[in-house]
Amino acid sequence: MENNKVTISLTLPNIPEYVSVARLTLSGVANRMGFNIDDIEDLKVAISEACTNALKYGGGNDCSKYFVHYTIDEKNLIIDVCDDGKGIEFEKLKTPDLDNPKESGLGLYIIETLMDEVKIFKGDNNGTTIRMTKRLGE
Amino acid sequence: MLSIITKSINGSYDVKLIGEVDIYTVDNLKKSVNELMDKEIKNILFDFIELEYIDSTGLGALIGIRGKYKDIEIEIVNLKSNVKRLFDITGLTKIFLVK
Ligand SMILES: Nc1ncnc2c1ncn2[C@@H]1O[C@H](COP(=O)(O)OP(=O)(O)OP(=O)(O)O)[C@@H](O)[C@H]1O
Ligand SMILES: [Mg+2]
Repeated sequence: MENNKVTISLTLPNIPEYVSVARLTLSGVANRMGFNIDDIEDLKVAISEACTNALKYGGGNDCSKYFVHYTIDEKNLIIDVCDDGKGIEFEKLKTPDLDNPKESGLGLYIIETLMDEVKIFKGDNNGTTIRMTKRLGE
Repeated sequence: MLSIITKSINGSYDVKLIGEVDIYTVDNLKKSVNELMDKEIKNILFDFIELEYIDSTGLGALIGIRGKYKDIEIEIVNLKSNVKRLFDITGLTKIFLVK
């Protein structure tokens, strides 16, 4: 299985208008794999949420960048979004109150709802990586 | 890309969003709505028929608008299924009139 894996990588600048490039690339990859239209729409939201967070909480200036890796095997699409910001503070995360929606704090919740598996890692020195997996045909 | 077309019909405003609302285009949405609000309007109808994409940045902006202009009636129509799903997931269907 291991040798059937393919990875496509992007290096994106910390500039808002290029988040759409991550979405476009993902549509292409997911479409090739055979995901249906609804799944592709969900994947586009998930990747944008992760990229938007990398932009907002990552490096912080226009010269910074972040990385997106799409890893494909027969049945899974694994997406990693990695930034080199100051790292996520797990203690401060809370689930949103859906009866009383707030302007922020929705992104990670949306990702968890739309993807099959989500893991967030904090780098050794700094930075955050979010790994999101979507399985074909679920 | 996001285009916004605003029409006034008997004091109520029709705001059509065309394209994508994300971290790049969301300021455009906020600015358009704030300009409208200067006109002492009573209700807004957002037409999402050509809204292809929205994420938490756009949803957050809508929640902000809802909170800031409490006396204005806001209705949202013609949501595509992917957008409707996000509204359900995040509880936005509870604070807006969605049709
Ligand atoms: N890549 C990251 N690096 C550091 N902190 C992060 C990162 N991603 C998320 N966080 C932290 O987790 C919190 C929750 O993120 P989430 O995306 O759910 O909400 P938000 O970005 O605050 O608002 P929204 O996504 O609704 O616009 C953020 O406020 C931030 O403190
Ligand atoms: Mg976010």
